[in-house]
Amino acid sequence: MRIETHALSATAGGRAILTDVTLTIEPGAFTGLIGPNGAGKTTLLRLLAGLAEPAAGRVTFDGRTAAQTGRRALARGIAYLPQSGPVHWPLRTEALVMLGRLPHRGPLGGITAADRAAVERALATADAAHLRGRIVGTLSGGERMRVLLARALATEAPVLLADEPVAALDPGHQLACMALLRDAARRGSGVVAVLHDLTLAARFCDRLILLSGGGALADGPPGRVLTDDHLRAAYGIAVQRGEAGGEPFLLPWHALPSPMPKPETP
Amino acid sequence: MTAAATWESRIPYPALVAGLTGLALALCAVSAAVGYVPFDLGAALSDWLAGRPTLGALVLAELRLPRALLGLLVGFSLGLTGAAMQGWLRNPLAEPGLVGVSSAAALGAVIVFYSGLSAALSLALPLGGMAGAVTAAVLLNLMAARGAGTTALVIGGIAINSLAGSLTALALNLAPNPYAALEIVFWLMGSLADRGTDQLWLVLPPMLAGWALCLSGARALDALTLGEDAAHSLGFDLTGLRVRLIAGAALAVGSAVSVTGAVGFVGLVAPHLMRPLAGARPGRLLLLAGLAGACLTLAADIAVRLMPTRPELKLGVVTALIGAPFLIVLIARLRREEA
Repeated sequence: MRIETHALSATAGGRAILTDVTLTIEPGAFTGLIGPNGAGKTTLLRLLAGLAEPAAGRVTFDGRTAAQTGRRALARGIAYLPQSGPVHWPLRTEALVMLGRLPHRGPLGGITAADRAAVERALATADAAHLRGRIVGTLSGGERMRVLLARALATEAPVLLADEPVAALDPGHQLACMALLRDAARRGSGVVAVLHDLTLAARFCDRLILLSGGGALADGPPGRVLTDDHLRAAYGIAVQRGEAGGEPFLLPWHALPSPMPKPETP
Repeated sequence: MTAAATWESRIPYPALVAGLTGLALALCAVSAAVGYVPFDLGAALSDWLAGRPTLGALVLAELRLPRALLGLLVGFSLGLTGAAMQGWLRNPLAEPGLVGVSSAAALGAVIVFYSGLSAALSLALPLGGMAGAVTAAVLLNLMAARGAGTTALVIGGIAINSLAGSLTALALNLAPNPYAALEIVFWLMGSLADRGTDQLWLVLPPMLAGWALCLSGARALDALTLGEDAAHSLGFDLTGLRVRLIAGAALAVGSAVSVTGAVGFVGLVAPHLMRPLAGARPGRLLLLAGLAGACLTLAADIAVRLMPTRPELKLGVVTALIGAPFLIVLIARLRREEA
């Protein structure tokens, strides 16, 4: 599925969050959505998922609006993983991941062999198969995130939109999760993830969209997006760069006394 | 390994439903057999089925059976709507009684009582109850639509509860004579005594409609476990769900309260007893909580007749005496889990 936004604007509480954003999410690419806190990353992701109405402009899914596509077709086409997703009841992992199959089930249809197979694949891919019998509330933050990721993967939708999927993970699972998302894109899915770790974003993503000041400050391959100028303008930081095994990496080094409004200090 | 083993050894859902249905029907039979006059259930049943108008057949058809069946219907309505409210608000304390739906239904019924409409039109009482329940449910809905979180909703529900309670007290205060006030007070305590077939037929259609509306939300309630955005992204229309659940709760609870008065805590206790057996899945919980609610209500109604207290204790008093300590234990446990 191809998601296009055209002159998209969004507001929250009377404040403009996004202004005039036009971009296309293609299948087969892993896109990282980066930008400072409050830049509108989650807002954009929710608009791409068809979960919110834009203040102006439009979002289309394979050329059709969300209303034309229909809520159920959209649910089969786009898996959405919310930021630090809540789990309100003490469900077991397996039952939770099975929720990802809801878009495929009829109003009275039971769980089919195809549903079970998809859940098994998702559990294995997210390295969560050994957690299947555990109650979700008893899992560690990282285990819980992988289970929630498995829930999103179980839908087997052509598009996966993930809000900060690696935020709660240890370094080992961060790398595994980024590789997993990249592999999903290699197999033909369109993957968009909100990310804060610039090195991971640079190493694993095919494309980065840097949101800042209500729009896409830069959009393209990581090398072209993560320039000193862009990082100073968006985050107000200077970075240290290096290279390992032919891959570039960068570390946020210090905050710059920039025109950017200072974050409030407690 | 042990966790996986418990997962495998869970009682299968169909067996749970069958077992609870059997228990509810058995309690119905016991309820029909228990009473204050010596009574041969077997003889009465065969007389009734054969159409012989004996005293036993009359007592069974006009008193015992309606009371037992109303216990079943009211209990199922309270358990089911309790589970539906808890799933929808994602709060284990949500219950028609606690969020004000029951007391608003009681207020509606009291207004009808008070105005004398109930004497003129038998349908007026359930309609009044439903109107009250709908009003409370719509207020809750408005709060939800304005983006109130679940805590705010529960607090709003408690506010509705006290408002309805104080308006009911006002009606009592203004009652023309002490007997009218006493009648209302006793009715408010909740009871299944001396209800007849008329009331049974009156509330059956709205209750069935309410049950269907609540049960139709099972899948969406499962999805809501993951929060509203995730449920929406899984293809569920949350506005439609809200309308269905609120209408369903209003129909079922409104008609239940209008027949029995306020029978509290069944809607709170039944989902909690069943939640572990449902694997905590809110969709599965609906039917199980309904059946458990029916069993609890029937058991309590049998208990008030077996106890030596005369006149018999009111059903709502007994459920509250058992339910309120349960609520305290529940809150203590929730606090421990949060800590």
